[in-house]
Amino acid sequence: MRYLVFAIERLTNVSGWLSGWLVFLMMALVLFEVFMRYVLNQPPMIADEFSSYMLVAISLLGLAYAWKEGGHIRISIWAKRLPPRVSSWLRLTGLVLAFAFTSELTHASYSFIALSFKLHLHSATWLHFPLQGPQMTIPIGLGLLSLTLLLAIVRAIKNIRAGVSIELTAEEKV
Amino acid sequence: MSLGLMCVIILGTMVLLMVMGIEVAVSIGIAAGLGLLLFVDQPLNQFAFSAWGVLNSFTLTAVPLFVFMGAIFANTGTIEALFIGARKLFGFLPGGLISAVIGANAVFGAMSGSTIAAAATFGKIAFPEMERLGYNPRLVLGSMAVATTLSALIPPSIILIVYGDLRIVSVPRLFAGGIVPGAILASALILTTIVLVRINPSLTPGVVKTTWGEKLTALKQVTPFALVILLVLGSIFAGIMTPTESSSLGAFLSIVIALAYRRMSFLALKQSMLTAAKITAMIAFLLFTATVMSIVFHHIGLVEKFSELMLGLPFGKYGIFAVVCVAYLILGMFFDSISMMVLTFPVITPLINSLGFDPLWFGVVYVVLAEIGCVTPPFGLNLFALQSVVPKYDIMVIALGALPYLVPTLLLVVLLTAFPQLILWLPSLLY
Repeated sequence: MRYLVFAIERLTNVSGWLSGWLVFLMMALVLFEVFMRYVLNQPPMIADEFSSYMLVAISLLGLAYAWKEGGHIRISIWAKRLPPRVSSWLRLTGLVLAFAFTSELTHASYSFIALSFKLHLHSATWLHFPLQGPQMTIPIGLGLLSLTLLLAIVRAIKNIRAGVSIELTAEEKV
Repeated sequence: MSLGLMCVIILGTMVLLMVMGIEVAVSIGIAAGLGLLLFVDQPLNQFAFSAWGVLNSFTLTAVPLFVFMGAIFANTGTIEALFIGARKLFGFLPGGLISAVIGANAVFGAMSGSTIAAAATFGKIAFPEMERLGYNPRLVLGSMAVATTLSALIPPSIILIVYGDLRIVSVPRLFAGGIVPGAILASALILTTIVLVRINPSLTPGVVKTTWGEKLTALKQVTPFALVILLVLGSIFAGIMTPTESSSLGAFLSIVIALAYRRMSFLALKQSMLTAAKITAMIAFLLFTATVMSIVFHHIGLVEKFSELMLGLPFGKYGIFAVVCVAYLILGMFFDSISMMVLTFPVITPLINSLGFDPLWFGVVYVVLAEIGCVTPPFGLNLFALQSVVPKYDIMVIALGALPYLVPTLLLVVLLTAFPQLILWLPSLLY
């Protein structure tokens, strides 16, 4: 169990890192395109397409990390007014629902990818780039978010059993 | 099943989940998924199609880069030089440091576009110094909370980029549209400070006199930031670069400036990259779940019915628009500006189109309305961002301090409605 927790934590951090470095890489790629266009007059015409793919990857690979860091917006003002035990159970219910939703989405997004593989989808630009690579970040990102949620659920149950309020302990800290 | 019942099931589920404290994107997603399965008869892989369709967009690629740029300035602390410069330039005014924060916010807004970053940054950098000098904490925090809205209005603005992508409006034109209202708001906020301090001089210590030499030094301190703004916005407005390209340039220049100030560290770079990734993921999750919700709304006929209902109101064009404004002000108390945008636009935009309002004009007015929501409790995002760096003050202290500054902000909405050219003039001049 401890190894599993460690693995999920590492995966979440690595995906956050990867997502962050993609932002840097995107900056470098777009600047390279600008430099080639205005200075060398030889625009490679790749930045538009690849930076869009990078955006998909940054967004999806960053999902789990953003959850872990409490980066997704939520309105907790009413839940916080409830007695700690009630709000803890409410949060646990919320986490279970979120896990059910994201794991179902992960499953559903595989059929999207399967279709893409089946149809050998390529971009409509001169690059004719196979789309399955960037599209794969969708199920990967959603899957990782599901795992992060699963861990949050386990931690929330532990905290409730120990009589510790989840809202106060920021149970999503993976 | 009747439209009313379908709306109750979908919207009721969504509101219930949000009240439970579930993340907004997940709440929208679960309700949209329910609608998709029950009323649209579509599989859930629609979410994956939406994620790909919405995010595979060159327009939106500017979002992480502008966030990255702002985060570099904030995390490396280079923005402190901007505040010190602004302090010397605005120090002669009554409540000079408050005006300096407003001015610095306007400049930071022209470099970043993230209101949360602005709130957290200035709360951290400027507030302790102002408190030490004897400024009234309520007034200072309130002015900071409202001044951060300048980041959303003055280009580059993350909200305007998302708006442009959602409504297929040119982002450079939207950016140009935000300049005049942003300048008016910044001036109005400074004027409000002067009036408040004149009425009650005990709110701030006396005026700090600066010599011309100090002012010249201040100008030198502000120059690198002015150059970044000039290059980033100038390249967009001159048609040399797209917003994404100029955001890359801006992010690169922010690193160069941080290096020049000897403030750059690997930790700051890492934090900035992670901030950009985190905020982008948050916005993306909202965008693709809301897109599916929009499909559901269209399919069940809510969009047409809502427009029909609103257009049937006996208030005339501006009366209906006033109803929309009030609705946004109320919704803004509970939602952040991007969640509110993605959630309401599927039903609001057809109405706005039917009323004959310019989408560019509406985009800028929406930003002002939504940002008012960011400083009104119970869920004012800027209030929370500020409070996180000054935890000893309650949210209500900041909210009460913001009240007098909300008057000119609301007046700005009236002004922009009465004189749409304040928004439309510059875009029509440039493009």
